[in-house]
Amino acid sequence: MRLSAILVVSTPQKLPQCSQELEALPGIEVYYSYPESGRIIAIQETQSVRAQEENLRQIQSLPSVLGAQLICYYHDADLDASTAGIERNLDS
Amino acid sequence: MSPRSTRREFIKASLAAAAASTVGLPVPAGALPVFQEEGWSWDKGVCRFCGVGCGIRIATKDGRVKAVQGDPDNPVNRGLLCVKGYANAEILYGEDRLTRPLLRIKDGKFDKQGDFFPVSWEQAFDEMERQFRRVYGELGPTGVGIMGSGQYTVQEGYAAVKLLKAGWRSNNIDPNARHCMASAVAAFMQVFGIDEPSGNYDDIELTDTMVLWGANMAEMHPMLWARITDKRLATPDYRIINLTTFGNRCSDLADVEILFKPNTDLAIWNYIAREIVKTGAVDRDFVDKFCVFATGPYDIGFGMRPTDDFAGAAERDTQSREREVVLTREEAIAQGKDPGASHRVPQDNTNSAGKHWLLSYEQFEKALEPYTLDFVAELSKGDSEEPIDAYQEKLKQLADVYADRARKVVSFWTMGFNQHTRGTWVNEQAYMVHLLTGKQAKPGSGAFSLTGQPSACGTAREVGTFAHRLPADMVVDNPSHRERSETVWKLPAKTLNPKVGSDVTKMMRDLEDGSIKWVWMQVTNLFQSTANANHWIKAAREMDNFIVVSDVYPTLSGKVADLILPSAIIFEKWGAYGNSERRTQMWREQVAPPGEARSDLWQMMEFSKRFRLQDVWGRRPVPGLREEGFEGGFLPDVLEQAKAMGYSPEDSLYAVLFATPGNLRHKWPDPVARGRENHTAIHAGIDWFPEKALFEEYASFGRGHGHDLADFDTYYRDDVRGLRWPVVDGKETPWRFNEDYDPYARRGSGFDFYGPAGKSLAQGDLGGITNPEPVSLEGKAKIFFRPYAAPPEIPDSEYNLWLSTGRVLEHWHSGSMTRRVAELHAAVPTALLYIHAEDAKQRNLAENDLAWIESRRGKIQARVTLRGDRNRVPRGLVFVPWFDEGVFINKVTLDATCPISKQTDFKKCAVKVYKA
Repeated sequence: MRLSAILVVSTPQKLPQCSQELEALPGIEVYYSYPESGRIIAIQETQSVRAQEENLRQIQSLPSVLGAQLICYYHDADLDASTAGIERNLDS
Repeated sequence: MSPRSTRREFIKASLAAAAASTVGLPVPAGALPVFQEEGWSWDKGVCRFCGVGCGIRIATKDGRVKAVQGDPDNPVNRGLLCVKGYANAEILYGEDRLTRPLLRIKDGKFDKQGDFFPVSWEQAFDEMERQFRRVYGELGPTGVGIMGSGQYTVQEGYAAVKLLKAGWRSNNIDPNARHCMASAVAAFMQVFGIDEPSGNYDDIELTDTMVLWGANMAEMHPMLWARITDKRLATPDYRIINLTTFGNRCSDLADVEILFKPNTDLAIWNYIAREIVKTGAVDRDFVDKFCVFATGPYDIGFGMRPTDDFAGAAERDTQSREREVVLTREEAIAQGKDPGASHRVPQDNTNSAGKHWLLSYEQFEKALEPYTLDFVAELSKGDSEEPIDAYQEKLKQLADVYADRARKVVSFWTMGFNQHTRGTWVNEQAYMVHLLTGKQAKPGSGAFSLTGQPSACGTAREVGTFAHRLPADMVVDNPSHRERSETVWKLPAKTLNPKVGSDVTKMMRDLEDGSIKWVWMQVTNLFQSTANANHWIKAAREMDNFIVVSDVYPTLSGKVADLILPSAIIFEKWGAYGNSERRTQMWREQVAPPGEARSDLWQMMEFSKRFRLQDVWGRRPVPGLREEGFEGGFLPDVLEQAKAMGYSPEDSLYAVLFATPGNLRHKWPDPVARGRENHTAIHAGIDWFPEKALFEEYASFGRGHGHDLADFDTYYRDDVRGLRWPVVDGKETPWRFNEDYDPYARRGSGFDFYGPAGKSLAQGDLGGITNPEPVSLEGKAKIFFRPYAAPPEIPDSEYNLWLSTGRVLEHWHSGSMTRRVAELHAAVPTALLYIHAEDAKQRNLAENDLAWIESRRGKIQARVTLRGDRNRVPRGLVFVPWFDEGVFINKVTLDATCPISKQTDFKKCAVKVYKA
């Protein structure tokens, strides 16, 4: 189970539409909304980092969304030795 | 509701609250539920990453860390964590954890050109010992060194200092913290005579004005920033002013953003001081009772090598400024000289940069005279597109908040000040303004140096893992400090070496010129994090030397090394960290390290068994000792004295330094463990508790000397979340030097700046010392005048942009841990080049293009970003984070340092940028 908190930036006018569009996506829950600043804190639940990234891109492309970014996350129970596959090159 | 869904709901609520706080949005009251879980074993701990020192709760089951949470009972973070904080579990489990020692081998034996092969600890230590003895025999104590860390646990740092200084009689130990907060330390010592801040984090809520100077707290100290944003949003009169050389996330919330040109913070402080003096805002009562005025020489160089023998052809023009500087017009004005004349200034005080003398108030006032609004605004305005009137208005607002007697002010700073070729000066200037206005050491008011690393304060500074230090602020070149340390450590007189060792930058230079040939690097990745890195990597790989790197993962430094030792990480060992507000926090070992990985403490204790007193306590040559009054330039043979003290020349350093009769009294197992293990004791085969014993021995240095720590067991109590020292009679000290809060302040004094260092000064004027007769300054703090000075390398027609480097929220330092966490890596996979759109356009660069960044020292490639979502650089300046070894920006940076603190300026050098 991977949970992540996302800051979604919309506008005060589009906030209700934004909430609806977010709630329509699988695994997304609107947690806090801030009507004055047009911002939302949403929580998403996925099974993989890939899905997490994919969902984030989907949110970023919603018509009512100006921007969205991952703020914090939680990866529970099965800490499955995730590594970043980092390329290293001393000769660069 | 099932336990699982309860947990899910709890985590969701915690994440949502943390996220809102991190980005400055309000969180409904009572948003954090209490979480009880299904059979996991929970314990308290502290975050592995930055200097904030957030409390976490750690869940373990079946020998594995299952989860971490923010600790709601910890007053630092109140249950919230940043995006890195949640990674405290995952950093243990990267798939390339080092689990066996690795040695370079060719044809069956060690060879510097060989490839890494796994070896046993026995084989690893055999080669390490053979190389040590070879170098120690050839060069003596100054030929060996330890490169340490502000991420050492307290006990590891203490063991390293004791092994090197008392055992091997060398002072070549210096931490990565030299790159991080040495300027803050030097200023604390010069101004207050004792290290570390007077205030604490509660000042965030108690103040009404927050001024950030070169501190992007939103990314680097996120949970403190969350507290600031909470306060700002709830308090209409609360003001935030953000001074920086480029727009950052703090600017989003700030009431005023002041973009200034690199190094001109020195001039802005003097403008503020001038305004305070001119408008009668000086708190005369406070200043007269508790302060004196001081200054020092201006011709102190830039901490570069005094010779260009090792410089590449392109480096020489910058290097030459170490010997002589031609003042810029602005520097001439700022120093009260004729701006029309040419001023060639030989740098005569490079070796006495820290000396200073008393100044009269009239002389102080005279020195500030050139720093008018017009002069400082023209000099310092950092955004060429901003109208000068608007900028001047902001400077006036800035001066006003300091001058306003009704306002409390906190000034926070981090690397923007400390990584500065005049880092000590600019730290001192912050105290200048706070002391002038009496806004220091009071609840809600104070100049406060935030530190970067989790135990830069607790270990590097308090234990003293520096080339010049001993525990509890003592120094090796003070005979009475050596004597006291020799007494506590039960060493013969004159065992300790009085000659200050090499700071970490100099240790790299020593590798290059062959004066150090054996180095043990612990808990750090200095070949990635030291400026002008091409020199040091070449030196390490091509010179006759032996480099040992102890680490958790294969880092760039590991790959440069000859021997890699696998270390235990954070919750795989017992430890203590000390954060920015003097809070010491401890944790228990939660799980065993993997494979043959062992704690750094185990490594040092085991290696020390290989040396007998007669190997190291004989007569030893040390260059420069003759001048220190040591006969013939040698450390004396102390073996006869040692025998008289009951030691045998055959005794091992392990027996004399670590397994001492006093330490053996602390038995393992210990009830404080509550059933948890100690792999260090298990694998050492001992029945004593090394972490507890070493902590108590170390704490004895500070008790009664202004650095009192509580006893070991107290920190493990369920109702304790760390304690801010000095802890006297069981009570912590929230504000130092203030009689109402600090038991060390004399009764009836009001304020007592009791730090003992540098409390006797000659008298002089702005030209130098006029009366060498020393005056006692007991109980007083110093208000320094320091002038504006230009940096050693300024953009010109060829290298026409400033380069600043720094960190990002998602990654910790060189990325060796955080880049192995999938979420963090996915969020920020690589370091980008932040450049202004117009500067990019001029260079035919578009978003995501690959660009070369080239300085006089080296060049690398990075992808361009123009989005401005995180950092918004003005024209003429670019920013590149340093976490990414694939974007090795320290090949480009300049190894100039503050000459007083020896801390490198990673924020300023000149580069050119062009399409790759």
